[in-house]
Amino acid sequence: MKTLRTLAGPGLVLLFVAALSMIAPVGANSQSAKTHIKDPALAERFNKVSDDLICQCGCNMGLRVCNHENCPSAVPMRHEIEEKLQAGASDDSIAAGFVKEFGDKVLAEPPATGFNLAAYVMPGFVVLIGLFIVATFASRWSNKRRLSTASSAPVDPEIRERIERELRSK
Amino acid sequence: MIQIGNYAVALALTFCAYALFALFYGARTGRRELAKSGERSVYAMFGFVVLAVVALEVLLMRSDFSVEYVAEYSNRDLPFFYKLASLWGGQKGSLLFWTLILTGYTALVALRNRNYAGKLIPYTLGVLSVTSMFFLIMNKFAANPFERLMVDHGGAGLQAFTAPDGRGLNPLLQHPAMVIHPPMLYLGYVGMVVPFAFCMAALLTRELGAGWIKLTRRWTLFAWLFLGTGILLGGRWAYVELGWGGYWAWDPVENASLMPWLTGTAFLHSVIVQERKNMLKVWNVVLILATYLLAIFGTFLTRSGIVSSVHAFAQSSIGNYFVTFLVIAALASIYLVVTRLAFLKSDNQLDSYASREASFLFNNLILLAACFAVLWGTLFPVLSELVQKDKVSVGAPFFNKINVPIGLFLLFLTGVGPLLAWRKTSWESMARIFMWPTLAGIVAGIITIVAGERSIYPIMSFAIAAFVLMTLITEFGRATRARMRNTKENPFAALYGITATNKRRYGGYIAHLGFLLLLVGFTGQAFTTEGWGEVNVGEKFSIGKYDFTCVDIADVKDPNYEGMSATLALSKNGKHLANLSPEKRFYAASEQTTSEVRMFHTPLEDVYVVFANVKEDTNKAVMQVWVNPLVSYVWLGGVVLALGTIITLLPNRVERRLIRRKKAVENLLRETDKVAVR
Repeated sequence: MKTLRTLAGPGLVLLFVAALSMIAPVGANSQSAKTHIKDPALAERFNKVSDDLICQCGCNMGLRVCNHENCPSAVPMRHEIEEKLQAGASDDSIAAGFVKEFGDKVLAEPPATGFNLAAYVMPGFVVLIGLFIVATFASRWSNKRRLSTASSAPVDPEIRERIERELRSK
Repeated sequence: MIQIGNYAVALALTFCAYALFALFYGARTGRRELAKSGERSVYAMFGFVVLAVVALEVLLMRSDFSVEYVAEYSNRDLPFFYKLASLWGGQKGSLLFWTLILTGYTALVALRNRNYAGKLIPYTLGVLSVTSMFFLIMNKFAANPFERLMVDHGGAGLQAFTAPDGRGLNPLLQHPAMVIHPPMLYLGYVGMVVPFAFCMAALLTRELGAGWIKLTRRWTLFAWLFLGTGILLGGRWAYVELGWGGYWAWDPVENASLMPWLTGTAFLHSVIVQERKNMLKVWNVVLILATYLLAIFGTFLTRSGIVSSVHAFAQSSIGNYFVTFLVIAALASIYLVVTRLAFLKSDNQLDSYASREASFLFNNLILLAACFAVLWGTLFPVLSELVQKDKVSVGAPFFNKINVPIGLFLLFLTGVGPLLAWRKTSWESMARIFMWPTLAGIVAGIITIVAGERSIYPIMSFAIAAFVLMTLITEFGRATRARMRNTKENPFAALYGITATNKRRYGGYIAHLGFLLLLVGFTGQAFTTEGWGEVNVGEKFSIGKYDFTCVDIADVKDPNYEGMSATLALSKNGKHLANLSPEKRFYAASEQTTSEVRMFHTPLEDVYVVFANVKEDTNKAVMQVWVNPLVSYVWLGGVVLALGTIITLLPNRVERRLIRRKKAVENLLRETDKVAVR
């Protein structure tokens, strides 16, 4: 009974993970809901290229997921990607074509150059500052603690002797 | 009704102005009766706002299209509940609804603390009245929902006009989740004003001990619960209504609601350190002020149109009002914190990094890092335009790249924190308490790899989830066994017993379990399968393990819309599972077309079907399909998180006893007064 109780926790966790792992072996997604390209490799590339771009109708959604009915931006852009992929264009050249047409705002992530580098650097920088602040305060608190411990350190032998003498005299 | 609405807002504004004066001046000069009259004005203010809301609802129900707001956001054939929900379907109505909740909270704070004798409550109500005043001014002068519909008649100028029918509520908002999602979200957003007001009052009165923290905890938890539930309901609405297969797109408006939730979460954790160790006083003040300012900032972001968003229906020019209010509130907050620093000194120190208080510090750091990353990403397009005159976009790939590792680390801390002791945990005891959880995590990681997954984040996510689950099981198991030994109860009674006697601790653990389930659900996105099929009646197609056979294509007709539906028989390995009938609808009033998604749920995955369109050349229905694993864990996680929060909100036995005694004393005093009068 005790063994059963001991194993109940790990057993529950393993059951949970085993259930989750049933969804894992699906593998690479070889189709797309947003393109009629039948070639799985091209459909996968379509997903990647359209995930890296933003619809230009003002909705700020990813190009692949923009769901506006007959969207004047997403529908022709997706169609253009399909055509270029089938014509043998590379993913980078397709993205570059859109950048030329709309500017950097068509990319789902700002290019990591110039001022845009700040987009990527700042969150990490803030974490470092936070860690520094925590470490500084922690060490200041610890110093305080050392000081307060020091104040309760063994007293001067002379004073101790005097205290003991006075206590004895009482 | 238009006049009643207009007068009600004006009277609410008048009572608000009086409350503001009476509360602050009364408390400052010690004139208790004056402060009391300010409290009573707060009830009157709320009453008149209720009257204004009722007036607008009556106008909506009557389809009075002489009112601009009604003509803009309602129509004759709109079903009853959506007419009701039209109140928050547009800018002006939703601001009035916001004021309703804000003044409701203000009245509730006054009611719950009516016997409080000190200065803290008048000042708290005063700060709440300042915020109420801002919104009432907006309702009266900048976004009045009772304005008449005017039409330009050329030379005759603007003239009142009654439209024959309204333009209707945005069809995307015509969904049951939209009837409850905004009220929930508003209860959360606006609720954050209460802890802010208590904090400002504590700063103003210099009563910065444990009092305001104790008075605030439940209000913060309450607001946090509603904000979280509102965010999840928004995700649920997006999932079932928008038809793109997902529930979170890192849209600026979604981000705006997430930021105060993150700082609120940090506050709820760090406040425990203040309660236990009397530390982090400045930090807690800063967190609660930041939460409120982020809530106002979120409102500004949603309604100003400074960033591109799919929630474009809420954009207008009232952003300037919000910026002004935000700047004033931020400056006042900073001034008060700086001038009261001497009252906010910590009484204790951090003994070790391997302690619970240190884990709370790291938890706060990570939550704030997540908040900053979301804020930074949301505002970066605006900054970029200002600095380099070139607009860039920051979409889901950026946010996922930054926030997925942050989320995983946070999940890890969820497991580590509760097992660490206050002050210091020795290495030996850490090795002992983390042995089983670490083993569980390693085994889970191996199972995920063996199952075929090679991406690092899903592997880490499942491994950390197993680690955290094991820590929670260990914690519940240890306490349950101890209680079983002492009380001889059965395991379920003992489990209930430990939770009932220490609701804060075990309710918190249940909330952690909810968070774990949420992150597992988010991980499921890594395994989505999708595809499409082009079918006529009798034809079939397959996506992943599922087969779809078209059994019917029919017209649908409703007074509010018309359209088409395609019925697909869903089967797996030859076994029929369900019939799904997604629709394509056209709403005549607003001239918009929408897709009505249909889903088949299993505990492990959702089959999500959208009727995309009818192909003109082949006359076949084009169906888009997503197989979304683990989505149900997201909703389940939300429910568990809410349940855990509700448990922590319930009063414990000691508190109940104190409340009973307090009531008994109050009754006795009342009786004594009566006798004295006689």
